[in-house]
Amino acid sequence: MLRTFILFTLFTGSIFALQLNNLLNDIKNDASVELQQEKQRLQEFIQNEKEQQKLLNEAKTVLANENKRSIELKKTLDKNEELLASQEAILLEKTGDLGEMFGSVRQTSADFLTNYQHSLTASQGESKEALFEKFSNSKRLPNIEELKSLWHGMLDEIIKSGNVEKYSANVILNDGERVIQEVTRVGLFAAKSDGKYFNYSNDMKALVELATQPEESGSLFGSDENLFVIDPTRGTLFELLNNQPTLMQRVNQGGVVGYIIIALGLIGLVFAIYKSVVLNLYLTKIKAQMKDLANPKENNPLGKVISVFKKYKDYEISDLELKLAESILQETTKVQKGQSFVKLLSAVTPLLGLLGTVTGMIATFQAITLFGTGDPKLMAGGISTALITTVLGLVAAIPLLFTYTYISSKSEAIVSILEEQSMGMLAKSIK
Amino acid sequence: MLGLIFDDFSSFFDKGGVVLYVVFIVAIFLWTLLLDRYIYLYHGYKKYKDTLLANIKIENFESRFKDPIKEYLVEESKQKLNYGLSFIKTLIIVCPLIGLLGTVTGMIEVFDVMAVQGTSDVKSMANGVSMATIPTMAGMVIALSGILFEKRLELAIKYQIEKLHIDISKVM
Repeated sequence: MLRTFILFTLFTGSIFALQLNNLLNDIKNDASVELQQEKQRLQEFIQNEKEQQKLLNEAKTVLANENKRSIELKKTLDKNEELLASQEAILLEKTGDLGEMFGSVRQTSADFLTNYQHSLTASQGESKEALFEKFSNSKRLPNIEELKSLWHGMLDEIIKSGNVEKYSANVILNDGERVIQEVTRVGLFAAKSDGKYFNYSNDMKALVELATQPEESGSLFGSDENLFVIDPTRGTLFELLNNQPTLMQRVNQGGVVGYIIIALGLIGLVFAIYKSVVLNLYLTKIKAQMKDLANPKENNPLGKVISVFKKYKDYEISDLELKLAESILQETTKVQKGQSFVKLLSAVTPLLGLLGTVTGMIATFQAITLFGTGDPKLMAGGISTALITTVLGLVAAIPLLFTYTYISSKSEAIVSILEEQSMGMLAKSIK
Repeated sequence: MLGLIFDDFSSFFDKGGVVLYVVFIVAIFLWTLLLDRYIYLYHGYKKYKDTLLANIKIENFESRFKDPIKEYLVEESKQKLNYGLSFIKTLIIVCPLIGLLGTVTGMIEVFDVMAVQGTSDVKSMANGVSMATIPTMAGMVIALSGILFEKRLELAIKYQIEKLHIDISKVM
């Protein structure tokens, strides 16, 4: 056992010894190769050093040249700057008051541009917008030719603004269609085509048909053919025309309460008219009956009362009165029916108007809490809504009040004939 | 002098707007009716009463019907006296209502101006304000003066009826 172990270690030990021998040989070989390479590199370096020296010398000469040139250039720069300053002084001297003039040219052309953009003459084909824009935006001083073109442009505008002209222009109709139409323009105040009036819109670069056309009322010179509405404010009045609400829009402002008031008013009025017709018919029949007391007719209240009177006229006076009172009561209820309904409506409609006012004011104050009091236009809308209902309530109540008076006076006349007069009238006719 | 007054008058109506014309028409109606009633009370009615009393003297009524006949005669003259009085009353009630209508339409005018121009220009709103206040004032004035004379008329009529009652009883 021990022997085999020793044998094994000897064997493996001899193998290791062989490998180490090989490694030593390898290292020796490598070291000689590296040595050779090192020598070679050293030689190359020595050679390069010479070249580097040469390059350095070259660079030094270039630097010296450039320094010289820089000094020269600085001298010219100083010279030029001096020249520039003197030239500027000369320029300033030469410009003199003209500097102020260029400022005013800029300002005038800017002012003119804003006017031109909203004027009707801009619709006339050739656009001068670029011309005026050039002057209002440029920092450069304009030369005499440009100044002349501005002058001519402005003169042209002034002449055009005093003319009545016919020309074809881009037109946008109310349905959004863009067409080219023959337009008649009166100065800066109106443009008309096919009986429609137009405003100029700079955004669309076209004439835009007015949503609400101005009315042409009356003719100054006898013929209606050449009638023209002129807006001296150059389109502002035409625009305000759109804001003017029509009667229907006003009524619509009243909202739900407004509609209720209108409905109640109409119902009351129709009923009152019906009632007054009925009462008038009664009254004419009663009047006819009063002339002919002997022959009672059944078609009117008085006739019925007379027939009752005739039937019981030989009774005691108290019994007769009782019988008459009974038949009169029947007739009066028929006559007075529905009267209080009209009175109720005439009292309710102003109250409803007040209700509308209060709800409108609530809406207004809500607007105030949301948006503050800064914009009166926001509040004004709500307030006019509130006031419309009051107007509607009063407009409904006043005619209702009159018709109620009419009905009640008619029915009072009938009732008085039946109640107070019939007995005496009949008694008078007896003897 | 007269021209000055008329000038003031027309400018007054211009400031008051359409509603003031309505108030004016109502006022004319009211005053003609009141005048008519006063004239009737002190002239027409006197004649009517005299002929009525004369007629009663001649007639010979059945005794048991005397009371109803008297009542009938009084009622008839009462109707004659009261004719149109309810219309006068309605006109008086309507006057302040029309004035209120003026207030509201004037305020709408003011707010229309505000909606377009904002609150910056108070002068442009003044037109609407005078349109609001003048008809209101006019309506009130008409109603107050009307109510004064109307109440007086009512009292006079009441007195005349009582008197007629007594007069007829004396004759019958």
